[in-house]
Amino acid sequence: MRCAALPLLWLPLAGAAATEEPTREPGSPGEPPPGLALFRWQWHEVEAPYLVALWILVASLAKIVFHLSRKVTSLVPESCLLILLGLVLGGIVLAVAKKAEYQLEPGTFFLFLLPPIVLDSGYFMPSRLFFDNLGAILTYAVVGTLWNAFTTGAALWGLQQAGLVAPRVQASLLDFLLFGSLISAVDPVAVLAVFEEVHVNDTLFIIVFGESLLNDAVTVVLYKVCNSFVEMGSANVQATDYLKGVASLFVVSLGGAAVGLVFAFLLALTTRFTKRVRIIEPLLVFLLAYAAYLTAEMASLSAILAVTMCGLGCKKYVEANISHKSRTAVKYTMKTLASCAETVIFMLLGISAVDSSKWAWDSGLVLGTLFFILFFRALGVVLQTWVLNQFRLVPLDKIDQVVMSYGGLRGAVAFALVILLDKTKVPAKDYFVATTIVVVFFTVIVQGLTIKPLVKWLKVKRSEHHKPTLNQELHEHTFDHILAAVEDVVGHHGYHYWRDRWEQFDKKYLSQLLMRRSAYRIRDQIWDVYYRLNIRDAISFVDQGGHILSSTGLTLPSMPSRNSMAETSVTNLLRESGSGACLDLQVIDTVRSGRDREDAVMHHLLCGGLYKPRRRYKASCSRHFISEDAQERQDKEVFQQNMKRRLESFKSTKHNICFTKSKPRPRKTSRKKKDGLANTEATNGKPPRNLSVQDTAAVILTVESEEEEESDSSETEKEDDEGIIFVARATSEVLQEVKVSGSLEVCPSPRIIPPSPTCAEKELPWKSGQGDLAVYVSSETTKIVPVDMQTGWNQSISSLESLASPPCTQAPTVTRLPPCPLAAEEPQHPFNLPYDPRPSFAFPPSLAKAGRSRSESSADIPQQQELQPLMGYEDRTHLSPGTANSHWCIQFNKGSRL
Amino acid sequence: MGNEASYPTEMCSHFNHDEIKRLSKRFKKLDLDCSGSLSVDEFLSLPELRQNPLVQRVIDVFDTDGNGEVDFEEFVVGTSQFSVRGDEEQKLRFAFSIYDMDKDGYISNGELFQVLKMMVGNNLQDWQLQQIVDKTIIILDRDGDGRISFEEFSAVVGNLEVHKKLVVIV
Repeated sequence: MRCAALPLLWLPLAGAAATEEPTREPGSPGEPPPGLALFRWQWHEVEAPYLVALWILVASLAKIVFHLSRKVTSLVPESCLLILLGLVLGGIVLAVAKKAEYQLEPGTFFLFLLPPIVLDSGYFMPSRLFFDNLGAILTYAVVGTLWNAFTTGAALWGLQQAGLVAPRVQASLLDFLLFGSLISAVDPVAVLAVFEEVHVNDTLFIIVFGESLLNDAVTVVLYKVCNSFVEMGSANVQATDYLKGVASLFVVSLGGAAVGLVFAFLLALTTRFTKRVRIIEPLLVFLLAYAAYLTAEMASLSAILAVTMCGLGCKKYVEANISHKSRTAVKYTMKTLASCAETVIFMLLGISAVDSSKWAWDSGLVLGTLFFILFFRALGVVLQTWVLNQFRLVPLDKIDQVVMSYGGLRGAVAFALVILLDKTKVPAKDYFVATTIVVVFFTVIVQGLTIKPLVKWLKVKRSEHHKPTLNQELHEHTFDHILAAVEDVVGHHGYHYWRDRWEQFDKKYLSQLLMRRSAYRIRDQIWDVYYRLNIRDAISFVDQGGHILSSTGLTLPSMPSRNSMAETSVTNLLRESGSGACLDLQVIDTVRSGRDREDAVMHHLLCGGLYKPRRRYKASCSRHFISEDAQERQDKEVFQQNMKRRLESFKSTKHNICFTKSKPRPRKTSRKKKDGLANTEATNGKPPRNLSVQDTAAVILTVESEEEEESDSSETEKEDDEGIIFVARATSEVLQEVKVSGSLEVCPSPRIIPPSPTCAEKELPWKSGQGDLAVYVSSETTKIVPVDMQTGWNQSISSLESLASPPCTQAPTVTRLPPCPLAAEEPQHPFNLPYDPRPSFAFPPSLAKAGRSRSESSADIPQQQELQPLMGYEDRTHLSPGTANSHWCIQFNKGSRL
Repeated sequence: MGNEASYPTEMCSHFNHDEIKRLSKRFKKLDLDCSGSLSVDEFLSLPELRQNPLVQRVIDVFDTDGNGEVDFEEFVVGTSQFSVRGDEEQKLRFAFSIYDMDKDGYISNGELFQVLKMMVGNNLQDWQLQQIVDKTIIILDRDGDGRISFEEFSAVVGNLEVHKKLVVIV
């Protein structure tokens, strides 16, 4: 494998060799000016960036090669492979160029390579986990690092005094302390690289990793203080200097954190106003974070801490503000940059080690350092853990401690710092460099290689990857509140108290200041999770393809819409007005619309006046936007018009209502066009389901869709429906309808391609007349309800509600299955908190099953029926017992045409 | 576990002598009318408690004999469930009883709804909340009786390990 990568090496080398010739050429004085050259070789002009690009390319290709074999990467961490590759490359460069080139320059490292990695880890740090373990992390980072630095330095000095270090190594106690301070810090890059592959449990990971990030401040301070002491000469150091040293610890760490937070604030604030220039959102994130890093570096504060805090602090607001696409862009760019930087760092580490001119070997020093590092790390961890465990409910057990000690990897930061030493002031620099290289290699390669088997052998609890579940979200909230309450009761102002306070503050002021109003309003975590769950369900349904369910839920789309480009407040409206924005698919498939005939009539009427969609192709060449699809815009228009019209007629009819989302579809002829129109149809009549606003999603089922399935166009695209159709029908007629068993009956029509309308087509006017649309399984369909409709919508809802009150109007026929007590809960009721003795609602046993298994469209009615209570809350009110017949079928055709 | 012996056995808690002393000081401070028990009003005299949506539930759970007031014994036993030394089941039980408003050993749909309603306030519409509640119950409900028993609750929630965070230092 590695051989494959070898030829690549020659690229930069060949390039370097090529430098010679071209540079000479233009310079040669004797020749006449060459006239217009057809071809000019200008290597020197592009050399620097070209080499950088080539190195990155080599590193990336090497990565690809490593990952060709799963076996290798599962055994050997990538960082080891990269270091080895670096060694090989360095050797080749050395052999060819006779001198070591391409070092890991501390300047490059600190200014360009480190920031992306730290930003990535800060931004994607699980903040809750981090703050929950903050105490432990800080202890290990501050106390642990100080402990390591001093003990290692002092022990090495002792070793020297004992004569075990060769006398060539001229170093005083201060020198050793300086060395101790740079070698003692656990390195974030190395830890991340190794632990990401090990997958230990979250707590363990966050402690080790958090420590490696936060100890930067301590390392920087120690290093600087020791360095300046060494430069001043130990004789000149006065007592005040020690005090200053201690003070600078606070200045550097708190200052770094403050810088980070200030920039986080700026970043969040800036993204609040990017609505019209979405395209620069990702850039802003990177720029401001980098600015934070540079600012901290400039003020010689802890830059790592600054970026970490910046990422940690801004994430919540930035994510809420920027668009969905920007979020993805940020995520991928950040990961790419970080991985790229990490790769280059490890490779350069390997390459730098080859340069023997820079180091000098002393076995005593090297072995001593290795031993002390491991020993004091372990000792430090044990001592600190013992203290910490007094305060932890779940103590860190022995195994955790072993992993923590063993996971204390040293890395590029130590190497860069040791290279920065001034040889005139620190005569033993070369020995230190050699020792550092050995330590880094030992920890990354030996410990990196063995930690995985060790973790397995010790049976360390691994992290389980589970997506956030509704339960988790709910109970975490509950538990937080419980804890805060108990802390208040007990009068102990601890962590939970302050977190609670912070959240209140955040909610009251910060969020309002830093988040767009639209984003702020719809922010509720529980709801978010619920949403995501439903969307996941929906997607998996679609993927499974087999079953056709459609949900109006197509609300699918509405999910990302929160921040999506079309920032019409459509989604807000939906959420506020309580439309079927988020339908639980498990529920939906059991629901079916009950009216057709009436609907049909209604729709015929409506159809006449409907706006006919026409495609407009717009060239979108704005550089400032990724314009939304022309299509999307068009849909919106169509939709708005439809809505207006329908609402009006809707109000006038004021009868059972249900709305389905649908849109007019273009003719079949236009198949090529993509239309994300959806159509859902309400199918045959069933007893009316009394109106419900939310469940609106009525849709259809489709057996008939045979035809369509094949033609793959027509109904297929239903899934994207977005639009809403209100269907109103007279109750009386409804009554007549016999219960319909399934969707089957509804559309018995054989598949006939164009001419004969399926019954659905007959009944549902909008169905005919429209051709198929190309399927458009759009990833996000965002539109739901136009904003301007909101008022009208609300009005109509309220009017409906008033209608609903007299029981007679509605649901004459209905019989509701037993679990109806729920009906008792009226939505409008203000909730009386604690002791409201409401009847509890019990689900019939079959329910769960029914909910989960997507039964065939014809599924037994009773079961589905039972699910109804699951629908929107308000809905329930209107349900009267006995809706047994009513049954909504929903069909979700998989878009096959994509 | 300290000097438990010096307290009546029914007060057996996870606290040592110092902690109980501190608690009793706290209790006296809260007990504005010196009645020897804390009423809801007394609890709510703390401004920060007033903002906590679940404080009412917590008080109810503390109040094991259901007389509407929390006496010192209940106070100690209640808070002791949050001790570092408390066991996990105890903590889970506490969380469960927060939801189980009528103390019948089951969390019903309505109970869950009400508790969540307290927590989300007006952030969510009732119908949204109801959907969440329904879904939660479906997930938790193993035996299909439409309500959640403690076993069902601890099977799922116990796995989340959130209860391990239920620690308050007195």
